[in-house]
Amino acid sequence: MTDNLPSMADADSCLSDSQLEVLRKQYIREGEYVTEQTRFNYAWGLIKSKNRREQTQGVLLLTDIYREVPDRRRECLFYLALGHFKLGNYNDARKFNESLLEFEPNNHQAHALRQEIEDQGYIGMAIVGTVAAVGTIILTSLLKKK
Amino acid sequence: MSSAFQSEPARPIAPFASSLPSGMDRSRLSPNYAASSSSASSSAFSGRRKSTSSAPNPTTTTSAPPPLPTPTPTAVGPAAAATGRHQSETSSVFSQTISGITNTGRTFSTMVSSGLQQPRHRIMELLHAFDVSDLASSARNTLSTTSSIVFSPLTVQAVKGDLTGIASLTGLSGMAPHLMATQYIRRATANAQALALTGSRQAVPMQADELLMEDIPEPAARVSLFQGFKASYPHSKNVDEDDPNLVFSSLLSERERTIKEQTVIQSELGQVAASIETLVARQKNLQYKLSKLSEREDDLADTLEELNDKLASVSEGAKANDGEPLQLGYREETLDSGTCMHTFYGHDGVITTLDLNGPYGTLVTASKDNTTRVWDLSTFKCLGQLPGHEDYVECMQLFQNTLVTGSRDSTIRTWNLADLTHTQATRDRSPTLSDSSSGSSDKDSCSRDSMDTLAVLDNCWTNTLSGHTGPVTCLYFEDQKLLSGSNDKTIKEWDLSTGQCVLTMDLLWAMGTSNSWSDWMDLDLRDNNYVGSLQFWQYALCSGTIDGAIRMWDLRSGQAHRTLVGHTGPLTSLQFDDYHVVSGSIDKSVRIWDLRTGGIQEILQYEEPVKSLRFDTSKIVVGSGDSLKIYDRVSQQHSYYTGHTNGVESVRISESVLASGGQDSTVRLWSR
Repeated sequence: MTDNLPSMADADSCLSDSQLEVLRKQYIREGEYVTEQTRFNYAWGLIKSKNRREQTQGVLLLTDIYREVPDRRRECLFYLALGHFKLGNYNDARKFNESLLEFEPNNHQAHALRQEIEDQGYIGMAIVGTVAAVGTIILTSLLKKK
Repeated sequence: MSSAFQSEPARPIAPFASSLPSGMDRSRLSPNYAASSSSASSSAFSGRRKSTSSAPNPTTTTSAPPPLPTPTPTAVGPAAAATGRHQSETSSVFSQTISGITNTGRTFSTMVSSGLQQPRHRIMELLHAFDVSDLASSARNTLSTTSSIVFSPLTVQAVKGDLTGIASLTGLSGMAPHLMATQYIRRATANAQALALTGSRQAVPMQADELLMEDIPEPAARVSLFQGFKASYPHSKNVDEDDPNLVFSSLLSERERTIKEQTVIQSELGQVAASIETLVARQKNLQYKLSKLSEREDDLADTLEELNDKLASVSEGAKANDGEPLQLGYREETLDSGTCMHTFYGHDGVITTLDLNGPYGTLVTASKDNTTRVWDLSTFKCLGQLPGHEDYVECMQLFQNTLVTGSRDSTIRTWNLADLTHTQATRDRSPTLSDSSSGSSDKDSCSRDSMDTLAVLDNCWTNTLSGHTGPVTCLYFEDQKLLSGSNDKTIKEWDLSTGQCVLTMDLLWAMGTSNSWSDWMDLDLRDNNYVGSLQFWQYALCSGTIDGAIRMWDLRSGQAHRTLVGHTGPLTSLQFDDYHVVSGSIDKSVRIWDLRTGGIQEILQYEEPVKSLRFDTSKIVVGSGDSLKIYDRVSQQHSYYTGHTNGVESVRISESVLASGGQDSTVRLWSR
């Protein structure tokens, strides 16, 4: 399965506008009977981009694929995890990733993603802690003035 | 919770205390409601509901409004104190305000303290709530969810202060499902529109748990989505050389490319090998032909030598006459057939026609430079030019000393060249015969002379025959009868003694009724002659015309009684004898017709249009392309004489010599 999933570095690399346009055109051209491969290609291209809106679009599209194509659900778990991770929904990302790891405990991309999510979690906690601490300091200073 | 709510009615601004509490309460109620729900949801995220946790929250959220009422009671105080008369009431009011103030202060202090304690409080209760073992994970969970709420793009409105946004986004399914759903759907559909979906799909809120609850089957063993992506768009990825996946795929594609290139190159090699084979075969063929020709050359040389020996023996026996036969023998001994004995330079334009009256006699040539030159074949010198025609001469015939020329100026002139040889003879002896010929005596200087120093032979002209209205393209005379064909679409018969036209034959009418090659109508008369060639004998005239047909006319009736159809191009040359008619045409063929049956006996195919031909009993000389094509009628062999550097325009046979004029402005004399 190592060849079947992209690496984290690949997920961060962005497609150029023209390349994304190509994918988008192919997606639109296929109309109502668009194949799952085309949908995935476009969704993957969107997720890879730096634009927040496009990432959200990509995740929505992948969710549709997940819902509609049972065969591809396991793969979509990974991509949904990746997508949510990029968006910042670390909770969702963790859930999807954990689910994938249940099915495939030896998947090293999933392990790498889990590591990334944990790191983000730590970072988040650190941020909230500092915000709370700063808020407390401000309040005490105000009270002292009174 | 109840205490917090109860303390609030005492807080409103004193003058309006009676009227406002309910209203303020109501307005206060909704944010409190939202705040409590937000707290409920945040705790719901961690999976446990805390009723006590909601207690401090309303106080925190409502910490903003409290500072406002506190200054106002102090303002009310002095106002109340100002009225001294109602001191009892004021005192009661004052006491009420004081109690209110103290209450406010108390609540405020409790609020502040609780506010201070709030984060700690929250953490404390969370700590109490959770087990110590998964304290870290749950703390992390909650904080990460908080951070995700704070930092998620979907809660961007919450950051800005939109509380309803928080309510909708944080999973308020239990409390206000439709509120959340519509908000969500609105945002989601906005995203979906950007996806340019067909509209048949509606974006449903992404519920991770819901999705995960669905059945996830084993994937069928086939190409994964990512592999499909890479296969479709391999160039769209930034090549990261360190990643083994990418290197592998790039190597695969390279391998495919090299294989394709290989097949292309192999096919090219095959083609080149095939062409090499054909060229080698051609080379062999040509070498074979060359060897055969050289053999033939040797045979002919042997035959000639034998003949020369015989002639030499004959001429030794008949010494009494002029030296010409000896000269003849001398010349033939040294030359093989097909040798160019002499090339006459001097004309500045394409040679149009020529004629000669013997191998050692006079040669007359005409060219497009509007000159007609007379040459002596025994000395190879140019005797001069014949003036008179206003345009170049297209056709001529020389018989003994009578020359008849037909020109594009629609006239026919007759000349007498008998005196010419005399003047030539005298000129040789006395160089200063006339001013114009002073520089032309020695060697072949005539050939290098310009037009000015060329002798003008104006004593030769005898008659001009006018009557045609178009260029005279062909003529033939015998005794006193001359027949000429012209581009005015007629053939005229002339009487040379009187110089009058006795018969005119209209060709257009005759050609209209025959079933010859039909495209001749499109041809331009500047490039092709209407009547290419003609010849007659007594009352039988044979003409070749632009429509590719050969017509036999009876000169007594002036009607064409027979047509030989076959050529697919304009006739250029024609000759007949007792048995055959030989015709050449622009369609690159020479046809030999049997006069008795009217059928074709033979067709000779060439690669260039046939411009001129002459034949005798043994061979046919064809002027086609750059070389003279000789067809031996006896052995049915083809040979060719090369020498001209451009197309041959006119050929003549006279006993043992051939004369040819070409587009390279030269006239060549060949030995047969």
